[in-house]
Amino acid sequence: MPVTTHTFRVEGMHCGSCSLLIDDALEDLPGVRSTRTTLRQGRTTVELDLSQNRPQDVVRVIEDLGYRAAPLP
Amino acid sequence: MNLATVLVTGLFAGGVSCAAVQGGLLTGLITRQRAAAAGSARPPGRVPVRGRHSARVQRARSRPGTRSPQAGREPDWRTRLGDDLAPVGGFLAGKLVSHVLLGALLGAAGSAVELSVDARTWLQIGAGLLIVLFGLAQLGVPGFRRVVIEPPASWTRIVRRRARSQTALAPALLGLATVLIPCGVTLSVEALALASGSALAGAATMGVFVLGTGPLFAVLGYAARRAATAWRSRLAVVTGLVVLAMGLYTLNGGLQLAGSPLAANRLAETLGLSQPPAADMAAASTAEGRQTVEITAHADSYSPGNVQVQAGVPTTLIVHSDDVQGCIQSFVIPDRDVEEILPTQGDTAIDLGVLEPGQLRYACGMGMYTGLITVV
Repeated sequence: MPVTTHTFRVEGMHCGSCSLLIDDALEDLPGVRSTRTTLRQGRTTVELDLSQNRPQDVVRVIEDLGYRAAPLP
Repeated sequence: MNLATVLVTGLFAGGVSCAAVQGGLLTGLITRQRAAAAGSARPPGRVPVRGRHSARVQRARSRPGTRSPQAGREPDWRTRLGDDLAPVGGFLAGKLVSHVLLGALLGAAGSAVELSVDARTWLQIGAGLLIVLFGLAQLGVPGFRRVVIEPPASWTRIVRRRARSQTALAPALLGLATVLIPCGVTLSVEALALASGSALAGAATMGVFVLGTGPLFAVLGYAARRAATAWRSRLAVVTGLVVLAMGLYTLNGGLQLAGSPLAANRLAETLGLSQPPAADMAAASTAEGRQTVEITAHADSYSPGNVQVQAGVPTTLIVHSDDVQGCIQSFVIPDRDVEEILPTQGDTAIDLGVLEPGQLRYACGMGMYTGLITVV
């Protein structure tokens, strides 16, 4: 399965540490090749190997941290 | 602002805002270090050596075939507590060092720029407005949402690398690096350090703030990566309100210094909600044609709050210091462009010249504490 790029809208971040925490947690998710969360845009962009995890799993990790997340088309 | 207030700010606002998030980063780091140690341990199920030891040491100790005597046994709670608290202590120590240094730098920068009382007043009003702006943005007030302070990507990369390090010093280095990713409350305290006027006061401000975040950090942030999640998303509102309050407080100090009728206590007097304290007539005495009026500066107030003096007589103001610390050490009479640094204990004489009937207001350097001289 190829690696594809997915973007998510994230709500509830209040400082630079929040975006770091999300990236830090996502890097531990199998199949995540790279991740970048920006506070300003409230977005997370993830390069994901779909053979290991699905976009819903990314949403779950972010929501487990206490933020609201949804995949963007 | 005095240090007790900064401590309380750290204890609640900083603790809640920083602890929940940076605690999550630290917990992730520790979890990964332990998983790496456990993963390299053979046979499986052996309790990994936890805490301060580097992954390399852990691997060396858990080489296949070299089972330690306590293999397979859970360490008792004291060992576990010690192992859990060691990285938290390291993290807080690192955070303390970097923030104290930054505070000293900010304080030194603030004092290097020798500003007149007027310029400082405007600087403080500007800083207050800016902090209010951050607060409104944080609260998501329409029209302010675009104002977001985001550290540069290169800085966040440094912190990300630290959070994934496997070395024994990693928690301390992560703590050190958090200075690069300040939250809104931390930024506000940094503004206070800048305005504190000396390297020592700036360092103390930041140091006390970080120490204040300590207890809540240890309890909440570290408890679990998930424990704080229920309310983490609500932090935006909590921090926004705290930042807004600090902004208004700073702004009000600036307005006090400027003698603005919009300052909170003046506004309350104008609206008839409060009265200035009754003028104390016993504070002034006249000898040989010269009037002397005495007030006492305490740690967080002046007494009497309103003294009455005669107009048309050369007047000397004597300020007795009673354990004076923090911003109240700076004594300002904005209308006269007078600024004196009060000793912790002792007297300071200020020549006021011949006074006209009216009111003369004085304040501490940040306008947080005020007093009145009524001239009749």
